[in-house]
Amino acid sequence: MCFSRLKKRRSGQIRAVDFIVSLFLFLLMLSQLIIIVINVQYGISGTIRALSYEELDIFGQQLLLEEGDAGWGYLQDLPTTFGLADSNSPITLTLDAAKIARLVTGTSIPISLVSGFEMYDYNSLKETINLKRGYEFQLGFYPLLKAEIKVSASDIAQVNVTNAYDSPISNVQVNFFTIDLTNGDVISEGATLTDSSGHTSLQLSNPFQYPGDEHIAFIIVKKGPLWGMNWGYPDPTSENVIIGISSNNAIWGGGINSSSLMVTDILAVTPDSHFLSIIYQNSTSGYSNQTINLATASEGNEIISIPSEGLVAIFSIARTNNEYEVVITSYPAILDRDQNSGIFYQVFGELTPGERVKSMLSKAYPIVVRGTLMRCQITLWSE
Amino acid sequence: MQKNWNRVHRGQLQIAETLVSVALILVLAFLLISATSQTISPYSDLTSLDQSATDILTTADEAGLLRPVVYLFGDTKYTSEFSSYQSLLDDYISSIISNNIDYALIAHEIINGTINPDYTSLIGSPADVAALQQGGEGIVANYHLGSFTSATFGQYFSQYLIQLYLWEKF
Repeated sequence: MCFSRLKKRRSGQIRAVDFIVSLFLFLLMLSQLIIIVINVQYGISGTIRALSYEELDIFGQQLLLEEGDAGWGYLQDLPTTFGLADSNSPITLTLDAAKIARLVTGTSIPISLVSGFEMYDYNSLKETINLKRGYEFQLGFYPLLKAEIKVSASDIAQVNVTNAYDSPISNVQVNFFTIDLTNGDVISEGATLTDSSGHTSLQLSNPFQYPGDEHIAFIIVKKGPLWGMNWGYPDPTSENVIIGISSNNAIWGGGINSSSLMVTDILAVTPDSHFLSIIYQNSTSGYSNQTINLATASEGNEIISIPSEGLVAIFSIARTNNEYEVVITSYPAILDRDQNSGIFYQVFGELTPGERVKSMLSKAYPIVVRGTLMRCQITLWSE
Repeated sequence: MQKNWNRVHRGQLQIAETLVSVALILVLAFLLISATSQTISPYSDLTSLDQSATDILTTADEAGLLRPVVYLFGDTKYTSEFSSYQSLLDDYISSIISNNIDYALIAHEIINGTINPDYTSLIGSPADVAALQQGGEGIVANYHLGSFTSATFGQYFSQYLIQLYLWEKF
């Protein structure tokens, strides 16, 4: 009797231990299965490995600290080895604006056809830098100041200046310009400083009502080496003035040498009038301008002299059937992810990561270009 | 008596089973967390700044923003110029780093090759720097300055160790 009870108890205990062991094995297998399911979901065979910031930094150094072939930014052909660093300051993050200009993409009309300067496309650069298979990247160049301008019906220009995170920046010098679309003339309207909320305004002398007074407003904002630029036009905008890169036009500014800029401008149609206007910082920290009349030519390839440092804004103004098309770019070039103003180039590389992104990292690098400060945003991901 | 002894043992066994089950659930939870972390590695913004804190200082110096702030500090002849450069440097750093990162910039003078432990607070709160020096979570980048020559401000020959502290805002 006693023996049979003991036997029952023992068998119960054994069953409990069996249950625990089997439960443990089951849970272990289940967790492994979950790992496999996640792996399959991400489309990865083998082990999953996230990108590290060290990898991103090595990639960033390859792009930003290497020079590539000597002086390739000023040569028409693309180099065999790539790097954006300025040859005069290879140790610091000082980049060559002429090299950045060769990363311009997103224009429907190939610029190289007229300028003679070959441009990088994404795949050819990936090949040159020998990027690992399955890796993709995006490269953007942004000014450190964001400038917004709104022009009222009474021609008052309201400007707000912030940093990349929308914090207002005070004591920023805002230079106001109006550009006459009928003849390409650049009119300097004056300069003001932003207040503690990053705001300033100016009554513009040139009216914007169409027809008769066809102008656009343009601002360059600067605080020491920090800068930004943008254009403005009263709301509602006239249907007769179209601003921005389209399938009908392309514009480019690239370096011939440190003090000469090639400005290339291409239109898909023959215009009734065509002007190239350029605003650039002069050696006394003021602004100079130049207008080139291209008459009815559908393309222009002009070389202009500029100081070796400072900003340049370039405008192509074409009139066809009483409609003005204006395209604006800058040197150093802005490669903007959002193209928020619709006037600057798009980022270099993949515009948006695909759905199969396994791991993605992004980082802002402070860079010096032509004596000014910019932010280079590098995003690297693996698919 | 024997019955009671059996009951007590059965109760103990049930408690042991419960404990083992709880332990197994915890093991499972741990395995699940580690499985998830293998696919999505959490990186803080601070991790990404580890390398670029030095870039921030190097580029600031290259752009001529750093030395005026360091060398004009406390120079009564150039109080307004110092404030202007300090504001510029502050705007520059805040434009580069993420919004959720805070920062402080300090300068230690180097006298006869020895770093003076006392420091000048150029940007940010000394209390924050003290908290980080006492083991708070953050990173620090070091940068050496040897002299400053300017047509406007003259020549300065002191040597400084500049430290940029970065930490995540709470």
